[in-house]
Amino acid sequence: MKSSKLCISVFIFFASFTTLLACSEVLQQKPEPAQPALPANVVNYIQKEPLKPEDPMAAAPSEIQFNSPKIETKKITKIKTPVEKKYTDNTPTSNESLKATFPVYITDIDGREIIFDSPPERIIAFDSAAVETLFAIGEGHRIIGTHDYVSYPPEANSITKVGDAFNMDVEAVVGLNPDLVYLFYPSFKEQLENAGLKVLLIPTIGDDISEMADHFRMWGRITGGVMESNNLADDFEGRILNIEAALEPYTEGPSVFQDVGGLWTPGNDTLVGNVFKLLKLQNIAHDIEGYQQISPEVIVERNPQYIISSYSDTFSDDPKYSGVVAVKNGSIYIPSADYLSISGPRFLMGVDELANFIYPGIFK
Amino acid sequence: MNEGIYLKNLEFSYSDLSVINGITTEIKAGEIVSIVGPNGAGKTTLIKLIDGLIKPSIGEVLVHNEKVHRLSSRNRARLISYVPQNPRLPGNMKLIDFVLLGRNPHLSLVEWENEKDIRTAITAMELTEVSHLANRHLEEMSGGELQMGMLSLALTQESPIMLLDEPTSNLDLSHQAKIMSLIKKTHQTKNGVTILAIHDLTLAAQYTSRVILLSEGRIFADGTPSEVLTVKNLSETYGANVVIMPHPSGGTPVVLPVTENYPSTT
Amino acid sequence: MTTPVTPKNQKSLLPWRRIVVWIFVSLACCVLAASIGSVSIHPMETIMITLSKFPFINVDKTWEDSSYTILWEIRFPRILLALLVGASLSVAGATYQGLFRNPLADPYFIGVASGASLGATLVFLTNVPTIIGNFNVLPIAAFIGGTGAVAIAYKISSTSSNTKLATLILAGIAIGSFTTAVTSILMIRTEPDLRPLLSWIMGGFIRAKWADSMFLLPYLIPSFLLVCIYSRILNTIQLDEEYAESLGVNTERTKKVLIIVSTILTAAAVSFSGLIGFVGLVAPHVVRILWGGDYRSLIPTAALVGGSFLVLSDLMARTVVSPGELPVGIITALFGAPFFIFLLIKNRSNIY
Repeated sequence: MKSSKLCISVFIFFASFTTLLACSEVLQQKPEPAQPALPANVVNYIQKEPLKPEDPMAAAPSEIQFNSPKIETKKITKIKTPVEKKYTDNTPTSNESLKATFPVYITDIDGREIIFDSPPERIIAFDSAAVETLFAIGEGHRIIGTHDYVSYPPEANSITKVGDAFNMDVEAVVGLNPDLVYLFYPSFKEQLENAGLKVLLIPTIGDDISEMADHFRMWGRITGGVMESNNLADDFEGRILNIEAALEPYTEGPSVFQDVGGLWTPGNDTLVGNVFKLLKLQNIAHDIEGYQQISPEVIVERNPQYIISSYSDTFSDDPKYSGVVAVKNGSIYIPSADYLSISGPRFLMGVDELANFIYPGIFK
Repeated sequence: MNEGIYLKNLEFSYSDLSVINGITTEIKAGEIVSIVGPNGAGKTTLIKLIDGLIKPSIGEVLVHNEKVHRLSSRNRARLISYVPQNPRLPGNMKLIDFVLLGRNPHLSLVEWENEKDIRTAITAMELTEVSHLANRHLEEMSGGELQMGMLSLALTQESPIMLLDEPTSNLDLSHQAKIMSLIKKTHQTKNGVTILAIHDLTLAAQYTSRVILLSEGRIFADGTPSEVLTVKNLSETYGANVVIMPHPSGGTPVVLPVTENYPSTT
Repeated sequence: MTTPVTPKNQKSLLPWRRIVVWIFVSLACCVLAASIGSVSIHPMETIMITLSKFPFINVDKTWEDSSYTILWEIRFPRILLALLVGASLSVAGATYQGLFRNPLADPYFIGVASGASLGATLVFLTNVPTIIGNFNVLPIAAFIGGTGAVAIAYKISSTSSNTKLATLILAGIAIGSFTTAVTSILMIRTEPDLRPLLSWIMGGFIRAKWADSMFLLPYLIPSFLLVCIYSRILNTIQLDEEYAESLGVNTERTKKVLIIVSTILTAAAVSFSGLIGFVGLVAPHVVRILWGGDYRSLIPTAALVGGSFLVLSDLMARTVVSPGELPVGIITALFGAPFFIFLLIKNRSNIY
C-alpha cells in the first residue's frame, strides 16, 4: 500500500535524523580525560607541598606565613584585579573619608541615576540579601516591608510581609508609604513607579563574588552607614583573600558535582560555578551553560569525587551511581542552610562550610 | 405467547413529558406489524421499549415469556435486532466490518469472527444487494445504500424478532419498494416477529398484515390495514383529510392526503 | 454461491505480519538508542557488554566499569521504560478515543494528569521522606493522585444504572482544573526550588531505573491484555450507545472496565515518567490513518509505534544538548507534530 511505504520511509528518515543529530553531538564533544578511580579513603589532591597554615582565618589580609620552608612566603597584596563596576559610583574612592556624604547617586539597571538626598527612612527591601545587609550594617530599623521568605536575622521576622518571592502585593506596598522600594527583579518596577514610589533595581550579582562587597558599600552610602558597610565589605573581601590564600598551594582541587534537584546543575558561568573556581574545585558540569539538567551518563563518566546535593538519597540509593567515587566514599555534602543562595553577608559561610567539607582543617 | 411479544400496561415518560400512556397488546410469532401514527405519537419510543433500550415507568415488556429487562444484553440481542432511524455511524468503518458487528451477540468476549460468521454477513449483504460495496467506507455510501447496510446488519444477527424504525424515510422510490419487499421476504423465511415503525401508510398497508395506529401514547386502532386505515380514524388521529383508494396491485388501502376543500367520500 | 469480495477471507483479522515488522522496528530503535548517548561507547563494547548478560555466553571483560554502568544501569533501563511508557500511553489514548468516540481524547483526558501532578507536588513540597521501606513514595503518590481524580470524576457522572460519558468528560475537566489550581497554589506558596518538581511534570526518563520498569509491568501486562480482549467490543461501541446496546454490548460494564483499565495504565506510566504529552494522542491517530481504525489491530500496533517513538524521542532528548538533557515532552511535540500534520495533509479524508 502506497501510504504504508510512505510511512515507513518517513519513519526511517526520522530515525536517521535522530541518529545523525545524536551522533553529531557526541562527536563534537571534547574527549574527557579519563579520571582514574581514587582508592577509597585516600584523597590525593595535586598540591605543591603539604600545607600547615597556622593563622586562624580571621587574620587581616596582610601576610600569611607558612611554616614549611619549601613554600615561598610572599606578601599578599590585593590581588583582585579591578572589576568593572556594574553601577557607577560617584563618591570618592574608599580610602577617603568614611563619613556619609549626600547626595548619593546610584545608577540602576536601566542606566538611570537614582538620587538620594538623605537616607531613606522607610525601605521596602524585597530581597533577602538586602535585608541581611542592612541589618548587618546596623540600618535594619529602616526596613518596613519585605517578602515572605526572609528568615534572617531573627529581627526580620517582625517586619511586615508584602508578598511571596514572586508576587508583590503592590497595594500593600503603596499603603505602607515607603520612600524606597528595593527590588531584585523587574516585574513590578513600572507599576510601583507609576504609583509615585522611588524604586531601586540594580543588576543582579553576575558571577563575580566580590561584587557582593560593592553592594554592601552601596547600602552604606544610601543609608549613611558608610563606616559599618566598609567594614563589612572589607571583611568580606578579606575573607575571600584568605580563602584564595589558603588554596594557593593547590593547583587543582577535587572534582565536584552539584545537584540542585532533579539533576539540575550549575555551569561554570554561575555564581556557584565561581565558588567552585574560588575553591579550585573541578566542576564536572563545566561545559554546561547556566543551569541545566545533566545526563546521568555524564555523571558516571566524569566520576566526581564530591557531590553536593540536598537530596542525597538520589545518589546513595541509586544503583546507577554506585560506582561513582563520591558515592563510594560517602563524600556527599548536604548543605546545612541556604547560605550560597543569598548573595549577602552570610554567603561566605556557605563557602567556608563547603571548603571545610572538602579540605578538612584548611582554615585552622 | 411463547415466541411473541407481550406488552402489558406500558407507560413511559421523559421527565414531565408522558409519551406512552398505557399500552397493552400482544404480538404473536409470525406476525409482521407496522406501527403508525402522527409525529410524537410514540412510535420510536415504543420500539425502544420493546428492545429494552429504555425502561418503562410502569408495566412490562415480555419477549419469549421473559421480561426483556431481565435478559442480559447478549441474550436480548440474540432475540431482537434493531434498525434505528438515522444513527450516527463511524465514517471510516468498512461496510463489511459494520455488518459483521451483527455477529456480536453470538460471539463471546474473547471470540473473533470465523468463516461462518463472515459467510452469514456476506449472504445478508447479497440479499440486500450491497455486497459489491463490502470494502466501501460508510461515509462514502448513499442514504439508500446505508439503509440496506443497516438491514444487512440486522439480518446478520439472525434473531427471530426484528424492529425497524422508519426504514424507508431516506429512500428513493425504487429503494422503498425494494426494502419493504425484502423485509417482508425475510420475515416469511423465519417464524419470528417483525415490527416496523413507519409513517408511510400506503407502504404499511401493502407490506404488513397488521397495523397499530398510535395516538397520544395509546393504541387508537389495531387490526388489518383496511380495518385501521379509515378516513375517520386518520382524520381523528392525524387531524388531516385523506382519501383512501384500493391499491391497483393487491387492493390494499392507498392513503392520499388531500386539502380541506376536497369533497369527502366515505 | 460465489462470494465476489471477501476482504476478511483474504487476510487474517490480526495483521500478524505488520505486528512482527513493528516488533523488529521497536527492537531496532532500542538498539539504536543503546548505542548512542552523551558518552561515546564503542559499538564493540556495547555488543560485548550486552552479550555478557546472557547466561550461557562467556565474554572476557574488556570494558570500563563506567561503560558497563552507563549501558546497564542508565541506558537499558531508560530505553525499556520509554518503550513501556510509550506503549501504555498509546494504548490508553486509543482506548479513550474509542470509548468516548472522540478523536481529541488523550490519556490525560479525564483528570489523570492533574491528579498525578498533585500527588507528585505534595511529595516534592512537603517533607515526606522520598523512600519508605523499599518503596519510592513519588510514583505511589502520583498513581494515587491520578486514579483518585478519575474515580471522583466517575462517581460524579454515574448513577447506579448509567454513566453518561459526556458528563464524565466535563467532570474530568472540572476535577482537573481544581487539582491544577491546588497544585499551583502549593507551588507558589512554598519556598521555591521548583526545578525538581517542574522537571517531573515536564516528563522524562532521566531518573529511570530497572526497578521502575519492574513496578510498571504488573500494571501494564494485565491492562494491555484486557484492552486487547475488549478490542472487538471497542469496535462495536463506535456505533452510538443505543445501537451498540441493541447489538448485545453491555455498555455499562464495558465503560467501567475500559475506564478503569486505561486510567490504571496511564497513572502507572505517569508515575514513573511524569507527564509526557502527545504520544497518547497522536500514535493511535497515526496508526488509524495508515492502517484503519479496527481496534483489534490498532491497539497492538499503536503500542509498538508509540513505544518506538518514545524511545527515539528520549534518545534525542538526552543527546541534542549534550551533556545536558531536554525534557522529552518537548521532543515528542517538536517532532511528532509536524509528522502528524504531514500525515493529515496526505490523507485529507476524515480521520474519524
